Amino acid sequence: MNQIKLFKSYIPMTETAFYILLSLAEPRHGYGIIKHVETITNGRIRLGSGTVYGTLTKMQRDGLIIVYADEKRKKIYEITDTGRQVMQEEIARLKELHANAVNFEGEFYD
Amino acid sequence: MINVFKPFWSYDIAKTEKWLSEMAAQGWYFVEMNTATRQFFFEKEDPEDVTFRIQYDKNAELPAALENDGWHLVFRHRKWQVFRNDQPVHTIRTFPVRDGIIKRNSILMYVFGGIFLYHIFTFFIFLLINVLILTAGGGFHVEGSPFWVVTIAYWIVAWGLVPYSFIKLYRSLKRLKFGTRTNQTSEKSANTTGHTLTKWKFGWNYAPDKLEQWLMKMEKSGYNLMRINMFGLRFQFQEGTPKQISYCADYQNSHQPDYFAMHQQAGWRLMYSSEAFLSKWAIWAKAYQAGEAPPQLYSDNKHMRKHARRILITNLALFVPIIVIYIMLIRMNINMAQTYSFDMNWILVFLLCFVIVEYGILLIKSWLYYRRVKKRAD
Repeated sequence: MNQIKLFKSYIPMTETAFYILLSLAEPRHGYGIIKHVETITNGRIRLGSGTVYGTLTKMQRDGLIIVYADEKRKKIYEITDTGRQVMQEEIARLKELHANAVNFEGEFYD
Repeated sequence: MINVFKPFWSYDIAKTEKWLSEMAAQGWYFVEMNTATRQFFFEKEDPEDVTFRIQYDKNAELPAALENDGWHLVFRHRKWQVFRNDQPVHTIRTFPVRDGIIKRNSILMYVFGGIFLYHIFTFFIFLLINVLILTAGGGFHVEGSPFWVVTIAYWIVAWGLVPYSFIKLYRSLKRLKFGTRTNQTSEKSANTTGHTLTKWKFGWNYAPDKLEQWLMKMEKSGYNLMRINMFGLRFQFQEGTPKQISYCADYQNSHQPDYFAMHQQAGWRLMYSSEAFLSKWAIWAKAYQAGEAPPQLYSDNKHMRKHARRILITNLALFVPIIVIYIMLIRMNINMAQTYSFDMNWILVFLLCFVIVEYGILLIKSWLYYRRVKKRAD
């Protein structure tokens, strides 16, 4: 898949995909991702393991993440350069969203 | 520099890696190989204990964690990558994964297995015909082949190389998979004092959501699922206490090596799994508190729909070609009966119609299931 197509298929990201990729700021195993997302969203998002498995499989196929094993042969996921670029693009989009939300939110409160 | 010929090096990758380490311990370090001629090339250096890992992956990037742990790429050709780590083996914390090799060798195993089955089948037909001829009082006449070499070479390949490859791949795959997955279904401690109940369920894989609901209802009314037989048809329950247990029947086209580990870590108990070609089902169970929403494998609508669509597409791909062929067979029968004016074989036509209707019902069931999931997800 070429870069432009890849960006188009991932941005805008679903909340699930965003939090999964965000939690790979450091390498984690599958269940570690679930726990981390639950913690940073204060328990709001409890990802199903099937959802995480499906998302990771797809991201690995598209080259956003890469995998290795620890000494117990447990799989650990790491973000790639491509994955970082996708994340930068998405975060820029979210920042714009956030800035506009802050700028105009007052209009909706009275 | 020396080179060593290793024709079947890719069948048992763990053994090949061990061999590379042993060579290094004697001072011969792997530098490159020729995948076409199956030759490994070694260079002389001071003997040392080093670790090798061979990976099969289209992705060329080496994870940073592996690089920090001392791994470096020695050789790369197409999807093959050979990594080396000079650290003492007990200090190595991270390793390249086997997924690519497991997938590649599984496909090879199926191909060799298929060829071998075909050979056995045709050979038995050949034997059967000969026996029939002999019992009918016939005789043999062996026609000399001008290319006996070709015939003999073919026999060696068909009856030697093909089964050898199949068995070798089967064994090494079993060892590789054994280390990476724990897909043993968890059986509850067999408390045989309670009253048991056996129920049979056919065709649940065309409406898995109905099966899930049924199992949850059984648990709520005090029938705890103990085991499901290997064909996924017989469900054995034990009369016990009412429980809140969520069930999920999951279908995958192929099981990645960490499929089972991930769900098990997330608290799911594997009640059943089938590893058949094109029918990888797993039934998962997880207890939850009263008042809580039953936990699901798929927490978002996108993956819920995707799962249902996968089941529908697989069933379409399986049944539509058969239905089309059977309809064509019926038409051919009618046409032939008309042109050559003989009696129709009504029994055959009836049987074909019966199968068409049967498969049609299964397809409609899968489609209804897909619609139910879509409706719930939207």
